Amino acid sequence: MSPSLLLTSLALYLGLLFLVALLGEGRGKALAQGPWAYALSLAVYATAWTFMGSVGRAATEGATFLPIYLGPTLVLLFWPFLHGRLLQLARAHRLTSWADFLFLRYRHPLLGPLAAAFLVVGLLPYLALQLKAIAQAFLFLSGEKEPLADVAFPTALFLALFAILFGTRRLDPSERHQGLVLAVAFESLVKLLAFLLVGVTMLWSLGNPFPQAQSRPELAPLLLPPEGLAGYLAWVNLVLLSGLAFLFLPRQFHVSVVENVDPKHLPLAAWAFPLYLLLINLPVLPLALLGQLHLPGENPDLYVLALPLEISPLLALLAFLGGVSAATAMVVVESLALSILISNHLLSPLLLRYRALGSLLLWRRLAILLVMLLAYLYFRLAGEAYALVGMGLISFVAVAQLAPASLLGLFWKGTTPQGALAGLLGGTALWAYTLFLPALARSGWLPKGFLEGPHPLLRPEGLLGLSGLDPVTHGFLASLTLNLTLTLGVSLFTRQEAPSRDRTGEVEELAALLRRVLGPEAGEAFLEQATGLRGPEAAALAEAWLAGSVGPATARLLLLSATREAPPQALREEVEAAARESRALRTYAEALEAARKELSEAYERLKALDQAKDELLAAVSHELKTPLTSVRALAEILEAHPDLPEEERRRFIALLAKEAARLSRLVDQVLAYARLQAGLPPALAPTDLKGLVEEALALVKPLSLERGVNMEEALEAVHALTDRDRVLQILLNLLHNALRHARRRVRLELHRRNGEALFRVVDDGPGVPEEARLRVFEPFQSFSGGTGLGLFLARRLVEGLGGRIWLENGNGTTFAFTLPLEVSHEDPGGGRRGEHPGAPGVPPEEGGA
Amino acid sequence: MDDEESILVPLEFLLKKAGHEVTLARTGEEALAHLGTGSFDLVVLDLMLPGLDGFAVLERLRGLPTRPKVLVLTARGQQADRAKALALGAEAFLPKPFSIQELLAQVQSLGEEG
Repeated sequence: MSPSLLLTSLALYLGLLFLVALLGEGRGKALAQGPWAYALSLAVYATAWTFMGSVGRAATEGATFLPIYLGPTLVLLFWPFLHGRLLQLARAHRLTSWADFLFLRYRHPLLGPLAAAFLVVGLLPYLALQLKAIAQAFLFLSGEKEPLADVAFPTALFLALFAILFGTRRLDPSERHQGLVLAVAFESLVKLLAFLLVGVTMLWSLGNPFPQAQSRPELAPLLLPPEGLAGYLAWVNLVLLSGLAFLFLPRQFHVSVVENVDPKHLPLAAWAFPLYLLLINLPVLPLALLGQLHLPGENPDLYVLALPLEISPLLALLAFLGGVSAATAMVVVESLALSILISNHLLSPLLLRYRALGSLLLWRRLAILLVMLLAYLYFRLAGEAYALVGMGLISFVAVAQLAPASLLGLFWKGTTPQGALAGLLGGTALWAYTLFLPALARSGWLPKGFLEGPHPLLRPEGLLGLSGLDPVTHGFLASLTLNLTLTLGVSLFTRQEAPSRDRTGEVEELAALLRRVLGPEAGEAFLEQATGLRGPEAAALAEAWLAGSVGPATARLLLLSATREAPPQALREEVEAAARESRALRTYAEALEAARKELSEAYERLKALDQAKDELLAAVSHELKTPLTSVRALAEILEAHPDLPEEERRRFIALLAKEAARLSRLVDQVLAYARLQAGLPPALAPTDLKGLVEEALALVKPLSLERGVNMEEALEAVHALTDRDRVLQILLNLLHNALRHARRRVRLELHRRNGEALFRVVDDGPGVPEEARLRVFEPFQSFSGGTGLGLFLARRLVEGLGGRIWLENGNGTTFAFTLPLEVSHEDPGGGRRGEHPGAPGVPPEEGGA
Repeated sequence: MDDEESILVPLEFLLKKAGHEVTLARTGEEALAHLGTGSFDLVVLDLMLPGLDGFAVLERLRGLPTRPKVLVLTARGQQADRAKALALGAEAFLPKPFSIQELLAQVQSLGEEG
């Protein structure tokens, strides 16, 4: 097959993946957030190692490829317990990785960075494995004889580019990438179908390999269970190891926890994902046997490609694409997860100290590139000496070192930071000694003598003189045993610190911190949520919010400033300033968008206000012109017809008086509006409210008689310190409003309630339409042909006097408002003793200011 | 027609004095009902009415077989209102506040044309 054909089809396939990702961020969002996409995205667990390495392992060691899938399947049995809890934690604290969890749980400044750095190093073999798989497959199919490394380098760069394009197109504070999830789910489907198709076609065309294998005694061990203690131990170990890896691989945490949209997706994933693993393992053994039977001498890791090539190049191409897409998905998600780890735990705290934080996205991209280059380096150093699966397992053991501190931390309160740190350090050191360095030694980069160890009891691949175990089982048992022992032992002998007291903080201080770092909206939102929380809870909430945005280490540093253990002022200011910068960079685009929106909203509001003023002018001029016309016409008639009959004359004069009154009322309202706009203070004086109400009723009496509306009153004697003219204006506005809408009656009530005067103006009119209820008190909102100022003025006046006004529910319309009494106890000299409950016998009528 | 008694009363008086027969209507609907039952020479119409407004009345008037002349009264003396009223077929337009002479002169000239 020509390299150009391979490259073209590869480019086309990756282009398709990219389209799927775009779909996931756009129209396919619902699909990307669905339970199936979630379950399928978990299958990022199956990498090129599964696709090509499983067959290779089955062809050389038999069924030992299976435990790697049994582990995750067993873990899924505990999935609802473990993962439900993890999801809850992750959501509450915006965890993006296990390193975040360790940091959160133990609050040791070293744990997060240590775990992050260790994960990066520990996963290099795994990433190198993907490079090797792709390079191998490419060389095999193209028939070129270049050194593997020459192909692996462009592959590394290409995968890095792809990961950058996929995972770091923009920065999302939740670290969720819907497009990526959909692309990974799609890719999982492709690799499964491709693998099954290859398996079925090979069985179809080459025949059932099992009967033939019976006649080949050298193939028999492949079909039998492992033998002896070492075999059983290896099997159980692999189950345990892969189960832990499934839990602790950064990419698995990313797809199963960070990208989880809804915890209800778990039940489906709990059966769909094991089913997926079962299906993708079905063709492994037949293909391995077929390879051994038909292609003796071929590299077993390449059977998946070599077998289809025997039949059809097209099928081989499909197998190639399946393998490449498995590798691509793994590299993209893993390097993204690692870059988040690096930027949150290693880079951000460092850069913050030196205030050198540039664009976080750029740092993420550089981190991805760095990880891929390191993976390439590892591949150059050690890759040639190992089979695919062997390399992957070294990474698995590394990842499993997080298990004791994490799982114990999750379920045992007694684990201490010192214990976790000791366990992690010990396990890591032993992992490096028993697995990582021997891999380098085997490839000739360390002296061969390293494999012998300084002492027979310290042989890297046979500690304490153990022999007969394969290196991975040995390394896993040794490192995890030491890790667990140290974690438990040191925890038992160190004292659990009292629940960190420094995590408590005043809500106001925390809100101020959030306001400084995340912006004013975050501060307000926090105040709203945190009011009423106890100190430690509020501090935890604030920390979670900060962590989601600037990473947990930085968040912790920031929080110290708002809690009791305050660091030096200078450092505090520096860190805050740097965090602000980081935040500013992150939200630059968001802020721009928000500002644009705000501007256009403000413009709309101004436009509406302007329009409303125009409308007010039109309304006022209409209101003025109608009575003016009438006055003018009536006056001219009276002037021109001095001989009018007495009855008609009186009628005209009454109309004239009424219209003049209407004009003066209107002028009063416009003047009151102008006064309000000018913001003059109220003129407070002791006032007899009952007397004032009666005065208002007398003023509207002519109007009520004319409209045929019956006025009712229920008045208590109440005195208050208030602005008489303004209260009168309020009452007149409400009464005119009521009279304009009433059918038969208007009722005015005045009571004393809880130290306030309560007024109620009730009419039996049609009531305020539902859609207008919210706007009745806004200016220029006329629903009845009035000026639209009456109720607005009333509200402004009431509020200016320290009261409240509202519209009550019920038949007709009821406006109610309150005024504070604010009466001083000494007699202000107006003889107003009537409002004192302790002064009986004084008639309230005697009052009045 | 007008929704304000204080306008209707003096107008009725003036028009009757000038020798016209006058029917009053307070809303657009009322006016259209009257127009359906008898024949009129002139409608004096306020633009701002509750319910069916002056423009709507003008539009309905165009559909009548024997259409009376229309004098439009309005407190909103804007050019746009004037143009719209005239476009809808009003013969004359009188912004408020007007003098009784102006009104009578308009009514007079409309009567002579007819």
